[in-house]
Amino acid sequence: MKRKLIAVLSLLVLLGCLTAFAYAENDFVTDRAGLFTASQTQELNRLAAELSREHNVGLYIITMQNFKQESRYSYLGDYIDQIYHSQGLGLGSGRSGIVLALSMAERDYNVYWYGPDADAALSGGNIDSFESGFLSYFRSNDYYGGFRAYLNTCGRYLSAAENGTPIGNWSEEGEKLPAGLAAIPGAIAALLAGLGLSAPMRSAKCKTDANEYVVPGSMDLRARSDMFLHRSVTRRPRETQSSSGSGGVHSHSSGGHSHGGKF
Amino acid sequence: MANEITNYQCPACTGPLHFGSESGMLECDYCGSRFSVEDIEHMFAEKNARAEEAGAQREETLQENIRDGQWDMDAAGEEWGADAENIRAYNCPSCGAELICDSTTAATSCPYCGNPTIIPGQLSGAKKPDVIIPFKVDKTAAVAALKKHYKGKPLLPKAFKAENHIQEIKGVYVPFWLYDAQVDADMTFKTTRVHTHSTQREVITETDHFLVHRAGSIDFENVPVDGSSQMPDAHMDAIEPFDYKELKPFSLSYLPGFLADKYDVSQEECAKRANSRCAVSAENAVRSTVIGYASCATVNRNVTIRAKGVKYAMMPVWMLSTQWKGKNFLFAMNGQTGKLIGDLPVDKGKLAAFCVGAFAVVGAVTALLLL
Repeated sequence: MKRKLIAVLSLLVLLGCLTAFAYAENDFVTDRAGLFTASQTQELNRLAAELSREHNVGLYIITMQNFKQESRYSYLGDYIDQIYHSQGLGLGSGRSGIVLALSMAERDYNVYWYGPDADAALSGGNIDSFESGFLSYFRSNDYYGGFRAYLNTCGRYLSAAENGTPIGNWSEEGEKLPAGLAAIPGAIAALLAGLGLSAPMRSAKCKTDANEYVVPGSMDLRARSDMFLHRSVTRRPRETQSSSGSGGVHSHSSGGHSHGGKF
Repeated sequence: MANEITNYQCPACTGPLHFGSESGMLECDYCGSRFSVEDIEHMFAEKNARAEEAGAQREETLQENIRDGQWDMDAAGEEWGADAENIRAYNCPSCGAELICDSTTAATSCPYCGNPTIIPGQLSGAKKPDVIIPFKVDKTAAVAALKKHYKGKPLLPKAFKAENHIQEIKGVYVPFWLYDAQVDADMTFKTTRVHTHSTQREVITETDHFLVHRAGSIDFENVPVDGSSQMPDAHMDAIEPFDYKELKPFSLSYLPGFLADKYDVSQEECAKRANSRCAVSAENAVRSTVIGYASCATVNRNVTIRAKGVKYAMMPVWMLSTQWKGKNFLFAMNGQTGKLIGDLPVDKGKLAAFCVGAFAVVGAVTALLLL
């Protein structure tokens, strides 16, 4: 009887462990918008779990139909922040993690990152180049391809940060600022210095106006009319993140960061 | 060639008089006497009448005493030809030396005895100046102003300052035409006003387009244009403005001690530059009444200039010239206000060094910030 009890308990522990493992494998992808097939979900989960373990940073995918109907938030980043902390996402002591969320009704995307290891890889300065690695897939409705690209991009950025050479904003692949870019302000400064110093050397110039010889008070405006012709209207999609405008970073009091817009 | 020539002599000691730019009076360098312009004019009006009478008698006597020449003069020199039209010869009334001047010089000084000399005959045949602004700053101030002009210019070659010897300093009364005009400007503009507001989904920009019409007139007084082809327009424009409160009726008594040219560019020719300047200012004035718009583009302009009057004036200018590396550098100073202008040479090595330095410093700082 004692042996049977030990066996049953061992089986329960084993099942529990397997369940926990399975939960962890499946927990990286939440596809409430139904964008993926079962095999695609499985593949994305596998890739996310592998990269998450490799870098000790949780890499998450969340899709939904309409975040405004699901939540009280008007900004997708705030909703993801709430999910991240309420569900205890993140790995390691710092609970580092990166979340890419899509809300299909608004075609909103949001990248959310939290924790020191994620902060080392992503910042306000390189988030645009980070997003350029996968946003083009979403614009052509290739969601599976886009999320695969996201996970692989996360892997590259996290590896670069671990090596002490985080990828900068100016180059998706390069770690160094192109030398030519640094030369542009230098060339402008050289030009301004040259013009500024040369200008006082030439003081003999013909005058083109006679402003100094206007009789004070002699201006007599006889006719004055302002006729409205027509109105033209231009519209452009509004960026949904913070008031810092297009490409800005939204900071949260919880310590996480998010960046988003339309895809 | 005309040979009428005048120099004002001190009634006390017969030394030459010159116009003192600080005192505003005619001064004698020898005995220190000073005379007002009016007193000397009155005094010399009588003297000139007597001199003309005596000159006529002398010419008759000379003609009577001419004998056949003893030397063959055909081999010496050539005929002046067409050049004779542009030069004049005079005898200095102080030392008798022959003065050769060009046809526009109305006042000069004798290179042998330094006697300030006026050649009123040069002014005859042309219009008599209506007004004059006497010199207020002297030669010493002009030299000091030139030295100050060199300061604070890091691109000025050191050798230019060190080796710089002013070749010539001339106080010149430059002929100017002063134009009065009323300018009518009738202009049409296309303008826009822009409103931007946002909805939850979009940023909406509404642009209102307008057709704006303005018509008005504006008066100009004493717009100056120099009437001497020898004076560079850029130099004469750049030393403006003159203070017209000190305009005085013209008198030859202001000329002794300075050079003076008569105009050789007609007022009709100079009027083109005055008109152009007035038109630009009138357009700017009318344009400045179009306010409250985000953009404004001129689509039509009609400018009419109504000439109201023109004066012939003599303006005081110090001309300083120097040479460096075979190139002439000319500076002009407003003889009334002391404003000095003139282009300076640029040390290309220094210019390159400054540019390279700015490039290196800013480039390095940029690299440090971004790398």
